[in-house]
Order: sequence, then C-alpha cells, then structure tokens
Amino acid sequence: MLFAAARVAAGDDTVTLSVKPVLCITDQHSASCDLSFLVLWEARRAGRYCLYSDFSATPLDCWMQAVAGRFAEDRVVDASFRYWLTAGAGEERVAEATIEVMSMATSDRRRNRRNRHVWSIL
Amino acid sequence: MCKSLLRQWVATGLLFAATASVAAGPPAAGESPWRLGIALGYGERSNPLALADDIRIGIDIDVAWFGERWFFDNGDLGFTLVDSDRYTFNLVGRVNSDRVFFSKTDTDFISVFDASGGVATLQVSVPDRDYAAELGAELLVDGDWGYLQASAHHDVSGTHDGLELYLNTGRTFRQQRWAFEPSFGLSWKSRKLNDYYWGVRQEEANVLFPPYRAGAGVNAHARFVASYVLDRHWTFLVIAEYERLNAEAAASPIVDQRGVIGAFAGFRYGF
Repeated sequence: MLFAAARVAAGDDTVTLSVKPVLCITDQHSASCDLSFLVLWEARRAGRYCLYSDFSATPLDCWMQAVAGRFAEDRVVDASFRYWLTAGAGEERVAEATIEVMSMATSDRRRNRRNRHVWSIL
Repeated sequence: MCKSLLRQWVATGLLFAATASVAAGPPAAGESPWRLGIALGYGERSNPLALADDIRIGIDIDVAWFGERWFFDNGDLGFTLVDSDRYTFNLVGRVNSDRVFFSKTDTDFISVFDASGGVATLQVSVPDRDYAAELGAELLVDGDWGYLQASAHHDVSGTHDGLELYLNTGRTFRQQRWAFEPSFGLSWKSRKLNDYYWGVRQEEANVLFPPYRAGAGVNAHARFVASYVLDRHWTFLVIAEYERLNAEAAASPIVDQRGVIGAFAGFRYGF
C-alpha cells in the first residue's frame, strides 16, 4: 500500500477513511518520523462522526450531519498507531486505518553493520 | 609474511575478545535471527576475461542467520569476537569472489599456419580456476558519518595461498521511503592470489594467452544503491557498481577489460 486507504463497511453504511502517509521508516540513526498526516473520510449517510487516534482518549475532531471530513496534523511517530472514525451517539467504530512504523535496523548491531560483498546485489 | 600478518589479526581479535566488556548479544525478543529475501529483476555484470560472457543477474537470494556469536551471511560463516557500541570484530570464513568470472568462459577455435604451410585449427580457452576457501577477520565500524568495513582474508584451502586486504566505506541517506547509499573502497590482493587467478602458467599458455606472472595489486570499487520501500515486504531497488582491476591483473593476456561494470534494477521481497 503506497499511500494508504483504509476502508471499512459497517452494515449498509460504507465509510471510507484514508490516511497519508501510512508508513514511517526508521533506522539506527533515526528512530522516529516527523510526519504531516492528512486524514480524509467519506460516508454514504449523513450523521455525527468523530475521529480518534491512539494518542488521545478525546476526539481529534467531530462533524455533525456530515458525509465527509478532513483532518490534518503534524506528529512525531516512533510506534505504530491507528486513526479511527466513530458514528452516532453510541460511538460505534466504523472505519480504522493503521500507520505502521517499519524499522530498517535490528537490535543486532552486526546485522546493521555488515554489508554484503561488493558483488552481491542486495 | 602473509600468514604471519593473518595470525597477528586473529591474535589481536582474540585479545579484544578476552578484554572486551561488551559481547555480542542475542537478537531482541520477538526478532527473528533469520533474514530471508529474494530479488527479482534484470542486471548484468561485465566480465573482464577474454573469451568470456557477461554475467546476467535475474535473481538474487539473501539468506542470513545471526545467532548469539555465530552467524551465516550469504556464504560467509562468522564468529563474533567483539560487538560493542563502537565496533564489531568478527572471524569470517568465506569463498573467494575472483573465481566468479571463470564460470562464464568460452572455448574458441582459431586457425593458424603451420611450418609446412598448412592450416591447423587450435582450441583456445581461458585457463580454469578453482574456488578458494578463505579465513580472516573483519572490523565493522559505524556512526552518524556512515560505516567502515576492513577485513583480511587468507586462503586456507591451498588454492592460491594468497591474502586479500579489503576496505570499504559508505553512508546511507534515508528520506522516508527512499534510501541512497554510495560506497567505495579498495582491495589489495597479494602476488600469490593475483597470480593464481590472473596469471598464465607455462603449461596453460597458447597462441592467444602467452605465459604471464601477475604481481600484487590494488583493485578499486565504487557502488551506488537507490531503493524505495513499497511496503513492509517489497522494495524497489537500482544498483550500479564499478570495479577497476589492479594493473597486474589488467595486464594479463586473459584480461581484455580493466573495468568491471555491474547494474541491476528490480524488486526485493523480504520475508
């Protein structure tokens, strides 16, 4: 998935939640990513929708009688986390997107330091 | 002299191992000791030998396993003596890489006039060479400035009885999904190693390849890798590399190109 699009259908009410970017790549020299996230959502049915993330127990934003929304934030990321959208007063989770942190380094220094022979292509 | 130099390296490594306060540690919990990958794409490496084909690269397999001290890394078998925040020192057994060119040699037939005025057809081919098992030591250092790899390997299989000293440095520049890694280095090859692979013995000589003795020399190499991470498993990569053979090897009658050029573009899947 290059640019991330998470899509969840809850019953007949399809809700699409898109997040860019969805991948943070770290290595032994940089353990976190400073990213600008853009979250877009669309729903077939107008209603009350709220956007959450793993970073906060309170909504990042809420929309009333809306069928689409947009949210942007800058965040330093060093672990995988999720954005999710809830609908209605029951706060039912209707769509979710995961932002993955992928480390190119390992905890084994030898693997990070060892370069394959000059004739190897990897 | 070469063997005594190798012994000094190994003795120094054992001394480091005995005094180092930080030893190699096992991978973190949940982290596999294995690294498995496969690259599919297209590439070629030129062959400096006369009467030889270039080497096509369509697939490359990455198999590595790192235990607490022992490791296997794509043909290299190693034992870690020291692994600290500042450097890693390993003993490494490997197979020499110069032999790879001799797998793609051809046989040619040439016509010559003999003393009686007749024409004779001669079969001509590049002399065959064997793989050599080598044992040595390597020092790996890295930091924000990049990385450095220094190694010394000596033949222990009785194939060429020579020594190679290798130095390589580079740096990875990462911008999220993109990574660019230029590197370059030198490789000194002893007279025995160079002469075994690039020399022509009296009994091997023919009309195209007269007898030749190669001395010691220094190869230089440069490499550039650009990669783009598509997802957790797939990476697109482009690699270009150049190696300039030492003057003694390049002057050999079995060599007709001093530069070895390699390139590859494809996709890597990491398991």
